[in-house]
Amino acid sequence: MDFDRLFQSMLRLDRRIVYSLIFIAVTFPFYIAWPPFNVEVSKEVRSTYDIIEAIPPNGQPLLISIDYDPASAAELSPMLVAALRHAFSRDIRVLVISLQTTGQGAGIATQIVPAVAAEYGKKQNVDWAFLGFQPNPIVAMMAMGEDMRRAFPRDYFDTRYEEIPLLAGVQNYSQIPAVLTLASTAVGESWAIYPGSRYGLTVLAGLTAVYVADIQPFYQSGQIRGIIGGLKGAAEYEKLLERPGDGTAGMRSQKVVHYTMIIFIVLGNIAYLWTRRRRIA
Amino acid sequence: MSSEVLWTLLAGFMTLAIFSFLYRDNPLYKIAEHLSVGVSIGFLVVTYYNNVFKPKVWETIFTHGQIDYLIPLALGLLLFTRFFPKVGWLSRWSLAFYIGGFSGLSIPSTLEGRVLQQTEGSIRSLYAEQAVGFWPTVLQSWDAIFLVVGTLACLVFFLFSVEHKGPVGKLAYFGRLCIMAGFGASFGYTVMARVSLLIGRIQFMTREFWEALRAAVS
Repeated sequence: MDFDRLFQSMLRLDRRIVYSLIFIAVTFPFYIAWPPFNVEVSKEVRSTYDIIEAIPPNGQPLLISIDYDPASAAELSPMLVAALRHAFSRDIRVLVISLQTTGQGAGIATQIVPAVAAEYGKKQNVDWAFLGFQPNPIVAMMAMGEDMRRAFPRDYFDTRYEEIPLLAGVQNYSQIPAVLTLASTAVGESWAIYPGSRYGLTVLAGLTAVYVADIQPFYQSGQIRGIIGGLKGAAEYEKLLERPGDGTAGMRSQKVVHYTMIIFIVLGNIAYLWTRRRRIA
Repeated sequence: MSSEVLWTLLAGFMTLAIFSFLYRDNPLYKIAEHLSVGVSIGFLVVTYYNNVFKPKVWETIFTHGQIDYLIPLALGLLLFTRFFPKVGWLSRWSLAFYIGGFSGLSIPSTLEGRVLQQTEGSIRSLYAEQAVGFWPTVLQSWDAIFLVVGTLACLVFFLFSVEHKGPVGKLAYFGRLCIMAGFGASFGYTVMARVSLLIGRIQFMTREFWEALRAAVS
């Protein structure tokens, strides 16, 4: 076998062939339940679940901040759906806001929150409310710490704050047991630094995988009490809920793609080292 | 054909148009790219008007009569003077006010959250007293030792007033390894995140788009 020609052709491999193989690797597991797949629940996801689980039913609301745009929906929407299902299945009230700077988080909220609430027969403004969007996240976070009404005088659907039964008695973070920020930017970190440090708010973070390594020190220092990291985190949360969703479905593809990439990396390195050794010789 | 089917089909064709860039740049990709940017900006303007300008500026001043809100409105309008070179300097007043106010708001919290609490988090007992059992105690103690030594080693790597030779050099080298491990973890997570985005699109194409296509054909 002529390894020289084989390896040289591998190094000149058209990138479109690589794209096609990645496409097949992603699509294939949606139709065939392979490879066998088991999700190990990390302590970061477990603590997020436990903190939400400990919120008393029909009491003070869990605050969910949708701080991402459609570009990150593939990773973060499964987390949002899982967290909402968890809260509604335990009759925990949910207060939703969006601090994503382009305002597109508000569109995501209006699509997902009412749909999941309807699954459990939950009523708007009684069991859940969506206060809408504020453009400057840090200013809004600090304003909410003093008086939520100042940051959100009306909800997204133009109802006055005072007319929302869910918000009766909710003035600031003192009446919020925890916040779950679903963030694709550094907003997740801001929740820990500002309301977490200044007002002692319990902060849970659902993050795109890109931010997990950056936010990990905040978990170790206790400033963030729980992390759901990327699609894998969503799959772990779905496992705790015993209700597989998009996170679990996506992780099988994730696994096959990782195998494919590892094979490419190994073969690429072998080909590179082989041809370099031949050149030197 | 319902409007939902129509929008789903449009979203699917836009996705295919964006993916067509993987083969080569083409007019379909350009159309999808410009539409995406245009729609995003349009959505932003409408959302800002309805959620910010209308309730917080217009209604506050003209419905509730709170004329003190004219001051931030005037400061906001001054920002637009940058378009007119002769009076552009006026925008600095707004920026000075904004930067000053924001610094006052954020510096104490940043110092507390990013410096003091982070420092406190890295000063921990090297012996895991709370762990139950031999192996949990060993592993958690090892974790604490690694964290403290790793943090110090990373700091030493950035200490340039002492030559990196001998024990200092070895500690700095260990710090470099720790930093590289951190970058490696970040890169691994980034790859996973990018693959997740592709998975999300493929899920959409194989479910919603496929169903919409079948509904449209039938």
